[in-house]
Amino acid sequence: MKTLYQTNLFQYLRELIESFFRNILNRAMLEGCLGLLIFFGTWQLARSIGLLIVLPGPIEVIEGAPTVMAQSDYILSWINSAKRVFSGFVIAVILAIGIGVPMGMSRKLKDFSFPILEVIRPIPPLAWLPISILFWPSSEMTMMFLTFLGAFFPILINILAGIDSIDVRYIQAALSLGADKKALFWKILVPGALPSLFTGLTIAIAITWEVVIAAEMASGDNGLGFMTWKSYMSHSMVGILVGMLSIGMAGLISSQIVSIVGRKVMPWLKK
Amino acid sequence: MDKQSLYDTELLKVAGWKPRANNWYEWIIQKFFTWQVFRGLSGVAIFFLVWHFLTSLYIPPRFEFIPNPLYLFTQWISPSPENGISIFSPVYYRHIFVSMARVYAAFALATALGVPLGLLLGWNKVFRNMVFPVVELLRPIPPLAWVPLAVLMLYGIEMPVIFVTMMAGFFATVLNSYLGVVSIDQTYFRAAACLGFNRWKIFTKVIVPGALPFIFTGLQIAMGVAWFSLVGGEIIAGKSGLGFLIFEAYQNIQLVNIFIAMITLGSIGYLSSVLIRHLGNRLMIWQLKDRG
Repeated sequence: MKTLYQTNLFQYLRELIESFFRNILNRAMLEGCLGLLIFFGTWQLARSIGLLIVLPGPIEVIEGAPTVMAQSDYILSWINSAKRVFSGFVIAVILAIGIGVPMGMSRKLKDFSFPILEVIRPIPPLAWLPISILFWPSSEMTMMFLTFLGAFFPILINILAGIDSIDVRYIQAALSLGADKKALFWKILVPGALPSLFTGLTIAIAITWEVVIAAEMASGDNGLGFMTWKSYMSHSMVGILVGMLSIGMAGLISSQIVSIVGRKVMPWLKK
Repeated sequence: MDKQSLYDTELLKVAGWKPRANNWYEWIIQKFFTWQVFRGLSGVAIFFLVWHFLTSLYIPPRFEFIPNPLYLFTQWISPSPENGISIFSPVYYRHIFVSMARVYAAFALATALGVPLGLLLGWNKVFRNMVFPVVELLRPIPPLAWVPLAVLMLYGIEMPVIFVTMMAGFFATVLNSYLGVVSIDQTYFRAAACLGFNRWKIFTKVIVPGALPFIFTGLQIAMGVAWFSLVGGEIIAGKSGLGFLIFEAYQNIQLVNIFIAMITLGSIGYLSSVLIRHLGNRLMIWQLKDRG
């Protein structure tokens, strides 16, 4: 490959522009933009001809968004919600790994504790809301407990599935090569269960955002969910839409973080 | 028993396998009188004993809000419950019926809209390029964040709750149907083209059966999250249903009712998932045969 110094600048620029057109302005990208344009166009048109009475059009949302975002509690809502998601998620990860790994390693322990977890698991996290409001002393702890509940079971189930999916021949091979318990854990169990663990984390982070939003709507006094609910109470449609989009963005960013961490931790999964 | 079968039994025992049951009571004994079942049952028993202990004999601070399990179950099955909810009260069944009707309506809607959309996304490249960005734009918004918008935009109480419940399952169904089509081996398409299938026939004979396992994965997820979102929707915006029952019980401090509704929700949600799984296995018998 030629470098910048071997060829003249003009040719280099031309190649750069050509590769830009090849990579960015290809057909799929153009069609994607067209699809989005049609979506927003239809939305705007429906508003303009009066089909949507309540919902503002995209232009109104863009015009109104800065005032909503300029409110003092907008950034604070992000931070508060993120704090709740993060703390509940971290507690769930620690507990799920702490319970899931011994359960996956010992048949007896799994037989012993799995049925009761299966009894509790199908109860939706939000059904715990009223009893946790009563049980936990502060509303902050209530929301953390709910996010924890939402994240705990997907992570646990995926850890167990990951450990179960490890090929028994790997363990046998390691044992016949003279591996001790420590090597068996770090060289076989951890890399074998990690992909499944990260599947669980991806599911869990989405659920935590959902739970936090609902908990804030029902019992919170700050956070993104509460902001959306407040906009609903004051019939500020732009506020509701900005809230929804912010929540979507927050969820997207956190699942991106999880997948980036996953790729860092499991470099062998790269193609 | 001749020598040969005795030898077989010995061999099975050495290999750590159990001899095959000859009749139904032996089958039951083999199936249920095992260490695994015993350990599971003792785990559940210990859980309830600890619960009972913490709510009757020694009550730590804040545990006074949790009803005693014995009291809970006697209330649940008593013909004249103190708080009005037990297996003999018609109100209880009305709440269950309302919640189930909502979930199944939303689930049917999510399936009816999500599966065709997902299949189309996988089938047609131009359609995928144009619609997928819109799906990806809306997908990260959690279903319950739609509650305020749904309440303001849709009429009545039923429609917002059903809409929110549907949103939960919709994207899971779309994505899994799409992945199902993408995961089909390209050879099948070429074989079908060689055999002179037209586009419609490729759709019905290759795409739909090929994507079915993924579709059912999607439907199972959809059923799970539908119950989840239903509770949220009913707590925030409902006037009936099990989620509302929980919230109403909370407002009237009827702790027993909260727990009854929670357990009911859990069991019905679990049974719904089992139903979908069995339906999927029934429809995809060829897959089970492949697995052997």
